[in-house]
Amino acid sequence: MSEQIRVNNAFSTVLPTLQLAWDSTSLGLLKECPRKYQLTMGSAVEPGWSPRTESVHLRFGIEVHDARRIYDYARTQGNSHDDALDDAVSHTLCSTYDYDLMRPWFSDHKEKNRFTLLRTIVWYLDEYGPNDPLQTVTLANGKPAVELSFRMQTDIRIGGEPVTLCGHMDRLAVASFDQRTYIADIKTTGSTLGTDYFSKFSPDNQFSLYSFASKVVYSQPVAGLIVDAAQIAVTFSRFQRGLVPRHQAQLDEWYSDLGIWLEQAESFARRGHWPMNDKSCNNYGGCPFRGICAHVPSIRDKWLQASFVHRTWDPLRARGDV
Amino acid sequence: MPNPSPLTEPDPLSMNEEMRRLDTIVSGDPRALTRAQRDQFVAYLRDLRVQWAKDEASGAKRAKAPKLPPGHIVMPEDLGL
Repeated sequence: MSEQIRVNNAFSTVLPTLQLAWDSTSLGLLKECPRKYQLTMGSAVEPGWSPRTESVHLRFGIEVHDARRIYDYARTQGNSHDDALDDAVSHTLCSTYDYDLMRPWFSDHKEKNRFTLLRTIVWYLDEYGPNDPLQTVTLANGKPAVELSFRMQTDIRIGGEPVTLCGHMDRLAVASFDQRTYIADIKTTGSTLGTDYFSKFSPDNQFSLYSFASKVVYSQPVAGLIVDAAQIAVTFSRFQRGLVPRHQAQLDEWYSDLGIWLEQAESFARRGHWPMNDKSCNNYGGCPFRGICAHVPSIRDKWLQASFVHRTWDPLRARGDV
Repeated sequence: MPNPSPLTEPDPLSMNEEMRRLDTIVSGDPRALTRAQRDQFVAYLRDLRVQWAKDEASGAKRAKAPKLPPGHIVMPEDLGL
């Protein structure tokens, strides 16, 4: 490996296909389908693959999170709700404008487009901004506790090397109803909001990892996770907040299972083969790699090069200030 | 590809005069927008929310009713946990 350029620091230098720093995205991919994981993540020396066409759902979610972050920063600096909202709207108008083509972001998705994005941001911040029972924690440096990057070394070892859990949590907030600290996250969906919607977070890989890590990485005890769900429809955006519970025994079980999943990852890395889970191909509207895996192995690379682009997903790359 | 309309995608034909004016504003280079123009846009979105809430309360446009009361925080006991 010494002669190859390292592109992803989350992987081992000894066995370049063995990932040692795991976030919820990469772990979720491994659990969903080892082949999808390998194609997406690549290795220490090879970037992964990503569809050429942008996912409207991913773009929409990122924009909503960014708007919330901008709003929180402005509020922490003492700005009024309306001024902070203007910062968020102004930011989003700019981030959804293509300055090469001099035109706004175009989405042909009837529920997730520039208009419904701006409407969702304004309605959401009006709903949860000024009188929110979840008040964003202000850090010692005076900045809001948003987009918090974390990493924690575990006692799990694979390939003789220690495993790190890492990621980015949206927001730390104190709830006025019980004065406890929660991790707050926003999810956007086309689904009608109700108990069925919130049930899908228990169990859930991302929130179990966040709950597990939050017990360790923050100085103040974290009581749990709260999800602000935003239902996006053509003519309205509706919001509902829900608590995502995790008992310590559940977290212990998740961590024990994690060790087994990572043993499997090591096994796949040593074999140099990541098997398909062909029961996952049609989940979530269909795996983007389904069309690749449908071809015989000898021509898959050509198809990948034609319809995908290289992308490096390095979980160790920090986004926030912590 | 058609020039997208931020206000009514994908149906710019349904715009009234006020919407058409706002649409022209927010379709342009956002760096050129003034605070007053953005405030007009936010006010428009807030009006939409008020109208939607009225329609929903009256049942006039309720396609899918909310399954939980507005403002309710879903607790573990709601999920049977």
